[in-house]
Amino acid sequence: MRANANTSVLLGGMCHGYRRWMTLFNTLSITLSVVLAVSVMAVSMGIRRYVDEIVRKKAAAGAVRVNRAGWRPVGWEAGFEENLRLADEQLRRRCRSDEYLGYNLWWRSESHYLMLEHPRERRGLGTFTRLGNTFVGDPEAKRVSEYCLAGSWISTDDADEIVLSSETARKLSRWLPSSDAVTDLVGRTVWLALPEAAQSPPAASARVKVAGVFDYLRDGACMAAPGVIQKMHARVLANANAMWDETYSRLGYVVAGFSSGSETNIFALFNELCSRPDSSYPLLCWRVRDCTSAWFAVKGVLTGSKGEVLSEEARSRVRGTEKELAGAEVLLAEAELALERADASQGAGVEMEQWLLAFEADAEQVFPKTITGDRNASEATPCLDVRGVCTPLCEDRQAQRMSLRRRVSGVWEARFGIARKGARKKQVSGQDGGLAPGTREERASASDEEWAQLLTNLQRQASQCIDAMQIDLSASSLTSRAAVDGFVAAVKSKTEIHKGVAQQEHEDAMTRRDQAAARVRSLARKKKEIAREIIAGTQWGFPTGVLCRVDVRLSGANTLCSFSAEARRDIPASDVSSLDEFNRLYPKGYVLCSPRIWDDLGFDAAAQRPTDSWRIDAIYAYLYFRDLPCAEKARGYLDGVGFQTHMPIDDFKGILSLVRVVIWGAQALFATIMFAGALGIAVTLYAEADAEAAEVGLLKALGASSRRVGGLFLLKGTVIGGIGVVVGVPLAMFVSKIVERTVAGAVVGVAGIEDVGGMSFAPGATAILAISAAVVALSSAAALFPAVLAARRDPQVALRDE
Amino acid sequence: MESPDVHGPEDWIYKLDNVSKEFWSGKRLVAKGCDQVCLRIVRGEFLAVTGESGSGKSTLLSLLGFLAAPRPCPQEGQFLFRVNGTTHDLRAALEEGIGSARMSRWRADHVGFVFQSYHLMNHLTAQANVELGARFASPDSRRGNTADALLAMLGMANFARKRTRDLSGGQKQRISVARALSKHPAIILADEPTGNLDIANKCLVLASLLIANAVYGATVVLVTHEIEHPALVASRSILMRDGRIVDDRQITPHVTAQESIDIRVLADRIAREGYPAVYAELKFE
Repeated sequence: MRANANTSVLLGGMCHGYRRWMTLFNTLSITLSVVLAVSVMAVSMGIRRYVDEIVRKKAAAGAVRVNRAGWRPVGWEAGFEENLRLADEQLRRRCRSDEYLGYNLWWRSESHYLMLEHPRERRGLGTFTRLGNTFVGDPEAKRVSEYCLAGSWISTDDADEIVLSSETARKLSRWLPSSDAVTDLVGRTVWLALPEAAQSPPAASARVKVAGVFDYLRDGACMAAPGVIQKMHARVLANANAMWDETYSRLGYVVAGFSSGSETNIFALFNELCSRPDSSYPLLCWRVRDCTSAWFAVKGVLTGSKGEVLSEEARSRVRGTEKELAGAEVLLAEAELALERADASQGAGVEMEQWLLAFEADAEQVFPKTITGDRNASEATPCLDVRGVCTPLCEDRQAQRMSLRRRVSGVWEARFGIARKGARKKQVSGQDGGLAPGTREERASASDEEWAQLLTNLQRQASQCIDAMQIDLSASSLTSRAAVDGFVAAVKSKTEIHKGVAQQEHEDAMTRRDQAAARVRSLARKKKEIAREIIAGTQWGFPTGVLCRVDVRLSGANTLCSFSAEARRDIPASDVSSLDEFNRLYPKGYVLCSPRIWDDLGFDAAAQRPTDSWRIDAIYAYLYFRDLPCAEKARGYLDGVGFQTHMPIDDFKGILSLVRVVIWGAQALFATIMFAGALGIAVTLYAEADAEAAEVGLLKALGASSRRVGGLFLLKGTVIGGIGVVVGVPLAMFVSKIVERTVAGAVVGVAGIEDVGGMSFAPGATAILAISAAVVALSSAAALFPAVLAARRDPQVALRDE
Repeated sequence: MESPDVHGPEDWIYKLDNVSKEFWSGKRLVAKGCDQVCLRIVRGEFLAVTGESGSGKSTLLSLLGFLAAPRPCPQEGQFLFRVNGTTHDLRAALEEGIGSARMSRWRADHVGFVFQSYHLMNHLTAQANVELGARFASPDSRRGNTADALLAMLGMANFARKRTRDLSGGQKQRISVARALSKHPAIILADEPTGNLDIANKCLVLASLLIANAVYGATVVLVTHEIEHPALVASRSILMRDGRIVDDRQITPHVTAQESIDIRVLADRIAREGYPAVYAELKFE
């Protein structure tokens, strides 16, 4: 109490004599500083708040526009889903087929996205931008994607090597620890292209083998890297039919993977394919972000969990199925072979019957049935050589020859017709087409020599048939009718028996083949099911689009339509445990995480608003969704908070620029003013300490300690600052109120703003307290030097100076 | 440092042996304010210190008032200050590094100053100035006289509420004496208190000091260069030259010429009848 009284008595000197003016000027200085500082701060903050309110109101009213700049969002106006469907229909029309028999370019992205685009910036990518999604419910896309995921990756078998870019190779090398097995596994060499590999062909020194990926890809793989795409494109241009047709014939689809940086190449490829009139296969483009993702896409089949190699148990399941399948396929092949052999045997029986008809015709001439055995005795004993049917035994050789020719031709004609009905019988009948020696025209125009050759062939074929029937040819020369009849009966009997056996063999072979084919089909189905099961349990290590994100970013307009406009970090939602984590990852923009977080926190809490740290060159809206429901939900949220499709970008940009300049200026002015005020206090108190040396000396003579004298001067500075705050803050509030009214009056009616509502420029209590504390602290600090000077003053000298 | 009185029967308040005060500018000795001064001041004594300008009077007064510390520290000598039966050793305090704080404390509690230039707070009233003298004293030292009583005794009761800037030199000096007396000090150090005053006010101020000495029992050290003052008021006079005490003698107070004012009678009358009555009878040439 007494100390306070002492202090007040001593501080009273500030208000007397010339010091009263010094104190007054000091107080005025600091008061003005406070007024100016608080006013400037209030105005700048108010303008900022005001602009925010403008944007909010305009957005809520749906009044924001982009017409001036020409920016317009893709896919917003007509509805997201509808746009996708329209795009799909457009694509199908372009493919000239409603049944996916024409060109079907499926752009399967892991995500759905929408972009703001500018017509001048489309650069030919607009089509892809529009067609950039297949909706999730599309059955065809689902089937194709399942097919791909099951491991049926397409191999460009005619590629003897794949050259990857250095960047791709660098990424790939992280996942390819060994370097020996890839060539064997893939069936071709994979090269990493170092910078030296830019030359074509790549220099040997630049080739580095990588390996260790494609263990279980039975059909090979097509790595999705820009370099590969380039090469594929080149191949398409050079010899498209061979590669694509071969691939399509094997798998029914042509699958090409490509990275996000290959849109241009893919687009060119697409155009190239579209320009080919005779192609009729679907083309699936599997979009991956980069080679690492591509590898993950491959690895996803192989791994049971993220980043871990497929378990041995899963491997054994796959391997077991593959072995079973291979065994079943061998059985099938064997059954097929047996069936072929049975068919051949059956065919031989038929051949023998035909031959026997011809033989009987010949024998009828040699041993007519109407002639008895007496006739034989009066003539030369005829002899029929079984192996030489139609031997020249008759005298009228020409007539005999013509007769034989007619009959044999009739038989041949019948046989030829039979043979043409089935490729199998045709094959079975012999290397030279069986008993039909040449075509009808060839036979009709044959000369004697040719005809003789034909007969010789016929005899040889007959011998072969007889051998095949295991007919006893010990009596190869028949000399009587009875012998001929006996021979014919024996041959007929043999032939009947052979035909029966062959028929039985054929039926057995058919049964075995059907059983083997069913087994193969069953095992293939089982393998696919296992693959799907593994895939279903696979947590993909690459961004499959679990993440849902809406970025409204301010970035360069030139990069608006570029896929690589800014680094887009995509992370699985499972890696993000909280909104804070998202905010850390996405410090800018409207950041929406998963719908779960939206539901938990609400959109306003989950969305981070723009800050003044944004670049304001342009507004760039990028929406990134996993699937359609997610996108629809996001759109609903966005609509709910007033983020409409028409943003007054230009006006907004101008205002934001102005606000930023004003705030910078205000901050600089604030600092300058405060510094000037503090400097004034310091100078004045220093002068006072020097001028009032005698008083300081007196105080010390009366017993005041140095600390107390110094504290007295510090208190003076603090009091001055306090007075400045007490007087200045209300004044500043008054000034800011005037500015607020002036600005509000000037802005209402501008840019569609009709009501500023409860807008206030008055700084908040926190800001006032902060500024007051800063002022007092600054003025106290300014008094520090004079206080030290007074505390150190020698009282003896001070008293003598008087 | 502080010990019961063991220095003999003589009731001294200061005991200085070989105390010097040198003024240095860097490593250069500028002057010797006091040079091996040996001095013993007895309690209740009215000591007049005379000498030419620059002889070391004010320096000695600063040492006695603890405004300055001896330099060099008296290794062979001593600087003792005894008050209320307790002896304080300045040398020991300095050696302990607490000399500055102790000097401030002793100065606040036991020493009253009367300066030639008054050194009053002009923005304060006479009463506040008087009260200021005891503001820094410890509660034990603040006893006895109120400001009003002191001012009344010194004939300044009517000016208690006036600011000192409106008063004359003599009045200011009497307020200065009252301020020195406000904490009932053991010693009053007056540095040429009459230097700026006319003869009448000189008499009044000297009478005030006499009152302080006689009535309040304060030991008074009066530094003056007026040769007649010691004879008028002091009981002892020392003469300084070149920082040394060259003459130290007891004075038998005497009342001399009729034209002179008998200060002692005056002081007696002031003490007996009050200041106004005496002041009214004073005849000033």
